[in-house]
Amino acid sequence: MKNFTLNLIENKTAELIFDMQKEKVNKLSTQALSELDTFLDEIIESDLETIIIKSAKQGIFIAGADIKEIESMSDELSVKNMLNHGNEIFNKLSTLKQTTIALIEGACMGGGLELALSCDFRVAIDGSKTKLALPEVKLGVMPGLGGTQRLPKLVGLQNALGMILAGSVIDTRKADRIGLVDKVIPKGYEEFQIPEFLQSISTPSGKQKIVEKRKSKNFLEQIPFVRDYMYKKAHESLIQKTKGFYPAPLRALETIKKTWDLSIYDGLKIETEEFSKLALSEVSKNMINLFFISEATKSKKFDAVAKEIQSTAVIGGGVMGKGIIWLFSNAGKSVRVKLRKIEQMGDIIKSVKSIYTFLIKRKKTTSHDVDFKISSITYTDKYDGLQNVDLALEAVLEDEAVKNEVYANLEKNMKKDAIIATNTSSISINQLNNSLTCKENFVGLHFFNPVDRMPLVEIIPSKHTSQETLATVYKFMLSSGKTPVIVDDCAGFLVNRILIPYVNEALFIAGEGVNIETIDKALSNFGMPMGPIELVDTVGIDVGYKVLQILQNAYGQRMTPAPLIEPVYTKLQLLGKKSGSGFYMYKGKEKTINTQVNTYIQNQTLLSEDEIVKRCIYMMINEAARCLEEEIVKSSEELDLAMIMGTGFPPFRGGLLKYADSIGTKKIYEELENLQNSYGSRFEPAPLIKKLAVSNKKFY
Amino acid sequence: MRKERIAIIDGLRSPIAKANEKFKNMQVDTLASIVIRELVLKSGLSHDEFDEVIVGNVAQPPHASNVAKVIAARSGFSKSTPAMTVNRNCASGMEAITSSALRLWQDEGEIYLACGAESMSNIPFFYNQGYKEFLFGLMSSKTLIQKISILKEFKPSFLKPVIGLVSGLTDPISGMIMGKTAEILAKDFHISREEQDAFSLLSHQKAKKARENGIFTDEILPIIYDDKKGLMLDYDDGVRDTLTIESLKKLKPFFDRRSGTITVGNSSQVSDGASACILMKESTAKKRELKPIGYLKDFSYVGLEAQRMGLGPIFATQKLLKKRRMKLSDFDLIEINEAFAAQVIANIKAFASKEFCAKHFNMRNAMGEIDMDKLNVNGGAVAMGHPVGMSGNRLVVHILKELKRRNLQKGLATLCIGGGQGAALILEVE
Repeated sequence: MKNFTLNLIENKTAELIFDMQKEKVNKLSTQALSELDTFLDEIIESDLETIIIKSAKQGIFIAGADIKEIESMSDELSVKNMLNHGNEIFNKLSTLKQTTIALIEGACMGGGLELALSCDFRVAIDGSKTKLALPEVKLGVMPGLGGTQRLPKLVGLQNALGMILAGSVIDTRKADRIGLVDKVIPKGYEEFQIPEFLQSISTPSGKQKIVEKRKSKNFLEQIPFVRDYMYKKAHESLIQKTKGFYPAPLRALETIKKTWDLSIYDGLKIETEEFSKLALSEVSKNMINLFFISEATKSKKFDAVAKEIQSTAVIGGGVMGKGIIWLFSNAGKSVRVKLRKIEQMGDIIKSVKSIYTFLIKRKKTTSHDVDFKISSITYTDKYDGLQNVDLALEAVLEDEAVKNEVYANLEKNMKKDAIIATNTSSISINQLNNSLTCKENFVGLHFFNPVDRMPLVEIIPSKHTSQETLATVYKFMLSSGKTPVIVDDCAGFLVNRILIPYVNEALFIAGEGVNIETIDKALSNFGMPMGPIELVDTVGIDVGYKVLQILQNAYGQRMTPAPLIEPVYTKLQLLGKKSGSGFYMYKGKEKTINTQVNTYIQNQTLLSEDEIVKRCIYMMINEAARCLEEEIVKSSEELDLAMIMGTGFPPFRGGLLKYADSIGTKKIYEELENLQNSYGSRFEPAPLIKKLAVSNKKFY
Repeated sequence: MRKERIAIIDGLRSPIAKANEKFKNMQVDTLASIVIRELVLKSGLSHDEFDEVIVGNVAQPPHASNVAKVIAARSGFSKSTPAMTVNRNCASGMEAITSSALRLWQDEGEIYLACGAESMSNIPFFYNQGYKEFLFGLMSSKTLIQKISILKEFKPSFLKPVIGLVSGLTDPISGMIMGKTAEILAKDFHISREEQDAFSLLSHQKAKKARENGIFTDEILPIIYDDKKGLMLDYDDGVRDTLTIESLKKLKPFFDRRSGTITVGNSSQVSDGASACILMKESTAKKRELKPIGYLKDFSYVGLEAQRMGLGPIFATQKLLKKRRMKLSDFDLIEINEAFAAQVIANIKAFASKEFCAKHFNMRNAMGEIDMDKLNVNGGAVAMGHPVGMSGNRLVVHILKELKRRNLQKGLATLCIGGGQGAALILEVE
């Protein structure tokens, strides 16, 4: 007995305290559940009347089930055994003759909330750390310990669907409103209000009063066709949101629908059945894997202690500059903006404000906070007011001479140990680094557009960048809500180097006469957030053209631009979405194929969706293998995370290399050779793929 | 013991915007904090080095009593920096400076931030007394019948608001709105409408020329006043480039419609703005190897009759000169705040009047003629506007920067204060 203790606090009332040994958080591992079971047996035998279940961890009630255990399951029977074991215990808890109260302080997630649902009453301690959720769908599974059964009965169908299908996190106020908790006690008043609550439920009528209060939920939901309508709407919205790529919320919805009228025991059987299928699915394994990868980035270790960044500066107010100014201010830092002309600032503040306005509308922040954050932004057309700045980010023109001048001015006007970062996307960090005096404080920070929506940032150290600088920017980016990935200096860095050949291949295919909508549709169906041709239009044909040239210069023949892009850019002078026409014509939200482009396209040909996907995606896999081999990035895990966070590569596929593994390196190698024979040497398999294929190994 | 000079490290201000126009959606704390944050950044000092933030503000917005603490927080000062709002009516922005100076002389602290700020656009309207009682009655009534009987008492006159701006500009001692006190001075000193209008036109012309010559660029911080549209103001928008004497002549007297001479054209404008400066002892500045824009040598405040509050400058200056054994001609530049053209002219005449100086100061000779080439060289409040809490601070910052520009030494900044006071400060460069 290590994880639970039972303390008698007064006559016939005891606290069952969960304090998982050697862990920062409480998790419902098989071991912990078994211990709980033993205690419940002890309680049944005792003359206790009231049991309060609480946690000894700071900021955590129960974080959920042990995900590692779920991940390791490989057959249906063991999953079912695990769930049955848990359900038996929760059923025992829910039918205990004693009155049970879950005293929730801190995160109450997944299995933790399911445990609380099995208690007679739930009391939440108010505070920003107290959050409740059933986030299972985010890991490709669904609630498996009675969540789909007990939650709808307690809070009503509408509220339950909201929580279960989206995995959304709710605070104590909302929990109180929907009846998920019976009482919210402000932090600091526990010692008075907990006894008051215990007093109020000490009589049957007192209990009844609270139960009655919960029941006032939407009576319309009792009408079958109303429920049917709600199921239908929920289904439609899920299909729209997930494009059907993510089965978990759909299965959860189906489970709730099928079990609405069933007893809890019959309902649990169905829940168990559905959960087991999901838990063993590829999608779930992929998403759990990604969860661990992304957790790992949060605890990356460095050989130096990170410094605090308080005060920042941004040089340049272009599209990226604006996004970065928003990011830094949103992270609570002061931001000094240096511009060529002070008049540019009005437009910048307007853009920053519009991002904030969007967040206010989505209730992610308040206008009061935004007011303060915007007032932390200052502007200048000289290099003044930089004496106390900890980090300056340069986002000026992609011109080495201009950048060098900026660095010289920054070094002259900033403190010695200030960090200078560049958001260059096309100039080598090691080359830019040459002009600096304090080379150890210089680093590349490559953001993705739009900065407020794309979580990835590539951190590119030069040969001279110190561990302290690296640790500092890494921590700063994490605390700003970004997903940082450290990559080595090379043309295009990691993500663009892999993504551009993919886009280029799509342009090759288009040039051969395949309808561009067919191409875009094929890759959207694969799960990419946007087809590659539309992506070129969105990024800008001019930008795409220039980046392609840079990559061709760096990597030679395999990055030769597709013949289609040059005339579209130079002859037709199309720029893409920003000018209203590119490969498509844009009008409001509508887009139609731009027939002007047809002049440069061969006669119409057909190519199967599979073939399109194969050519584009294998191109990426091949380049990714080269990056891994050249150690541009340390691991397949980080590479996959970068592609998901930087390009929206579909998470349910687990990542680019995880997807490659699912096909098999041998098969990919053979296919690349075939493609090379048909389309030329740009498909020449990377040596690493050959190596893996020959030895029958995987990327992971 | 001789007091050490107070170094003014640097000063900065917002443009002055006509009230209820460009800055109308900015509360005074927003406006002031933008200026202060920039000033502190430019100075290279860290926020934590400041001992206090002192803000002169007259209207004291209802959403933030002691608005100085709100301003400090918004300007990047930590919670541990104390902040105080001071109110000496039109001299509030100066009072922030002199209050800081007194603290420095007392060695209470080492570095102070002194600000003057006003958003006259945001001075609220109030319910009149009758309506206030009506509402309170309604709120405290318990039964429906009580409520109905109170509702019956409603009179349309309840809806006439008390305009905060008007009552704020009305002297509670004499019951006179400020413009009326200027009318008195115009009569006392026989100042014609033509003379006032000519003075006002000159003020606009000087301000216009100064803007064209870029004089204000190192004291004005451009302000983004509409973050939804991204609009920015970088000049004092009260200055009318195309103003003519004819258009001034056309204006009707505002305060005394029948026989007066004071018009909105020859009075200061109602405006919004903020100004701030950083203060420390001269020795501290030396030790820190800072280059101050100038120094505050000494100052005086004085009281006088409310009806003639416009003569504050001469009374305060006389007191100060006597204390320092100086004469008017010692100054290279003079700023007299232009509350009203008539009021400035009255002071000029009084300075030159043997009779006035004999009567009030028991002097044998007049204090002296003011050289018009030294007075308000870049225009004044008639052209630029007079955000009451700000102006005093602006005069100090401006005169120092102008002395430096002209390579001159000594300046006098003085103003009249509603309610019957005057303020005068001696400022020096090097």
